[in-house]
Amino acid sequence: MAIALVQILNTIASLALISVGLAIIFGMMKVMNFAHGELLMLGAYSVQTAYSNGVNLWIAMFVIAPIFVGIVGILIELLVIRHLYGRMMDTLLATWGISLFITGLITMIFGNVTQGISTPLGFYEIGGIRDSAYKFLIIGVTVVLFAGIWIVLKKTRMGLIARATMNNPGQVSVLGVNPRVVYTVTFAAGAAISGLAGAVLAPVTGVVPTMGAAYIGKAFITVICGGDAIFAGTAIASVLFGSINQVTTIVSTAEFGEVALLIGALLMLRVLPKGISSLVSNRAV
Amino acid sequence: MSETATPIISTRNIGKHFGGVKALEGIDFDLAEGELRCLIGPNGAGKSTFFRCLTKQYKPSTGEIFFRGRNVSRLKTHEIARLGIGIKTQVPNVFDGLTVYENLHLAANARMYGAAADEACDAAIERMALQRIVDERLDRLSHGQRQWVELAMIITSRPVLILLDEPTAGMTGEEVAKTAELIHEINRDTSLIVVEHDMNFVRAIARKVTVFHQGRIFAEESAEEIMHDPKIGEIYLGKRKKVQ
Repeated sequence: MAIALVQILNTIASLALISVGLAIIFGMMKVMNFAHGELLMLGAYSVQTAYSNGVNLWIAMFVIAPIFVGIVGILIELLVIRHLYGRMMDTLLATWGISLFITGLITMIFGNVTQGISTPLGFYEIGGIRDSAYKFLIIGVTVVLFAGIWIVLKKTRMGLIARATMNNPGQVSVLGVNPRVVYTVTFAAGAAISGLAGAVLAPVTGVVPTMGAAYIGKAFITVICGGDAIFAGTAIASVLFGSINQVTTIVSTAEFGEVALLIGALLMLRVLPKGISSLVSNRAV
Repeated sequence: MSETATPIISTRNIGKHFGGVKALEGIDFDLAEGELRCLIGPNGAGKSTFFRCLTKQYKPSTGEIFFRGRNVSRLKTHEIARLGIGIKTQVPNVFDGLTVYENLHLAANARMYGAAADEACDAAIERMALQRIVDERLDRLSHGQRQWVELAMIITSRPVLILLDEPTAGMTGEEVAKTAELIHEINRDTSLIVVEHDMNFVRAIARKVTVFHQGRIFAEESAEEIMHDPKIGEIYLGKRKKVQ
């Protein structure tokens, strides 16, 4: 039972991790980022490459990966997204092109083979059943990341400016804020968080150029079902769908778990077209 | 606030064209430090366009803008705001997704940090009697309340020049009187330009009035002279009649 609980929490945390970067870029900025999966993949490759070249695993995971993918995010925003704000369909096509470009580039550099990082932290054992202790790290990182994002959005000047810019970009400039800078920083933050997520998940998923495709669907389902309150919505959607997925997996198979997640999402959007956010306080972020 | 000879803001030959339509043409305008000026004119005369040109929300097609003698024509909207120019537009331009306090804090953060920003917010809340709605989101407030919040935001940001575009639109008689009082209070340490249609309100607040007509400055006279100028009545009402 305790093992099952850890597995459910791990699935919830993994879903939240792969979704939170997209929640910032799509939920806040309304940029339909189809390259989100590739940002996760770049995070995984960053940690894999740095680690295999002798860098400490934790430095590679928590410092190098987010910084590198954050810089990639800045470049994507400056070169492509900046010219397409307010044109959702064009953004979708452009970011899809970026995703194909990044996948092709990484395949060219590293080859279409799965690389791996051995899962650190060993095992824990409850009632004679062993499981990877790394799951606790994933859960811990997710909790700390969400707490950090909430504090930044709700309690800091930077977070207030970011929320205001997404709410009314014309008016923030009248208050002395340069909305272009806010957009670039927000996109870079979303990309960096995606990079961190990809890096944290790399030891349990394997690293391959097409791994982004496995994430993108679940991330969009979670963020869209989360609704307008990007932080609270994504958190609650992750808890709900992660639980549905893992419980179904435990009682049947992993495939049925994925199907159950999808059915849960469809039912949710039927009942709550504006997502889970419509049930939470209107002051939630 | 006493007026000095150096204009806080000047424009020379400002024009704004939208395709073939000339919304503004050849506007030469000076506002002295500490002055409170009203702009009047019929709908479509170019008053709001002029405001948007001053804050660079519209890029003027011709001409130059000077702030305290410095040419600011090339600055962007956020850079103009950082000079200390605040604007309140006709439709309350606030942040619907944020609470009243967050809106005020945002405005305060434009020109100050930390405890100073907190104090500015608290002072504005007290001055505008917003205590009851301070935690409400803006999209839950009435039109009048949103107008007051936007005025409070301008006060909180402590600008040196305020542009108010029809500040009394949609307000009750009592609120209009309160707004006139507030504008006088603000004018003690801040220059103001106010676009307004209500001539009684104009007479109550301004000494000097600039009349816009068909994208040009038609007249620049005292409020009393404007009230008795038959030409002004003509452009407002299409016939020779005094402004009421």
